[in-house]
Amino acid sequence: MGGTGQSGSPGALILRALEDDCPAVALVRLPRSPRLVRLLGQLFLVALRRCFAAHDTREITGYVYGLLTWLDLPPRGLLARQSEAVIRAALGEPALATGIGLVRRHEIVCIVVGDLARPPGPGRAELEALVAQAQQRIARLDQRDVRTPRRRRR
Amino acid sequence: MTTSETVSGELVVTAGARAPTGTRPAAGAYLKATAANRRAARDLRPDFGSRVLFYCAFELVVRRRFRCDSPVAEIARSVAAAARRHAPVVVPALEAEMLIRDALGEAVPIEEIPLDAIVTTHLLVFASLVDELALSDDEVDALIAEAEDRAEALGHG
Repeated sequence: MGGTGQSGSPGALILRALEDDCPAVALVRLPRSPRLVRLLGQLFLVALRRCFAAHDTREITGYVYGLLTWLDLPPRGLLARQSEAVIRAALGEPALATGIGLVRRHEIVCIVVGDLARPPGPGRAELEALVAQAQQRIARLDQRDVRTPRRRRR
Repeated sequence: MTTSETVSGELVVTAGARAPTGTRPAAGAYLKATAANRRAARDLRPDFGSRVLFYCAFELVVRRRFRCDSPVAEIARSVAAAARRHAPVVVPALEAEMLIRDALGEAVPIEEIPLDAIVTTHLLVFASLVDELALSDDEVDALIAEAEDRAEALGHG
């Protein structure tokens, strides 16, 4: 797993994109390597759980409305429902996002992760800590996979 | 409305889009048949007036079943139950949940929901909530009559 300090590592690319004027667009434009997509996915999960775990679902609806309004995107239509579905899927309702394609899911992940940098924003140190936590989750998931290899099909 | 019959005999409301009628009595009878889980006497292609009636009935039963602050998880459970009850017809889960929350007065994203998904949700969730509330035939009749009055007040009776 590349650390955030290496300039071409997924973590560094994400942190750089978060410094862009339009972080969501910058994230979408990053090369979609499997490592980067995976790190973005975990960062999405970490950020959401820190913000919304144990919160009322209605707060997610309100958050999505505010986010899309902030980005000048339609806040009451399909994108809003898909965004809520992807967020709630990550928080434990996976069935909600089953009909949403991978590209759209990735775009929504980028929109939400990009929102971490919305002013006033948490600051570089906290963003680095979030990315590090996401990387740690990936490392732990990989360790778990090594410890419990999937049974081979005959 | 996209239609299909159930294999298990659960849903018998469906009728094809072959008979192009959508009068108010037909729509009310269709709703009642949906709630009673039996075949409607005639096919129905819901015109605008029928759809207004379906919406009014849906809103009434939703407000009877849920409070404005009912947990979203509880609403989602009812949607899932409606989907299970009418398995051959696709009830769009999040769209249905949003339509219920909208009927409860919440500001939710309901734009760009396809018309057939709206009609399907109104009909099938109506039937499912009638079942959840264990309404008698008389109570269902009264509910539909109230919905017809509301639709008429809106100019679509």
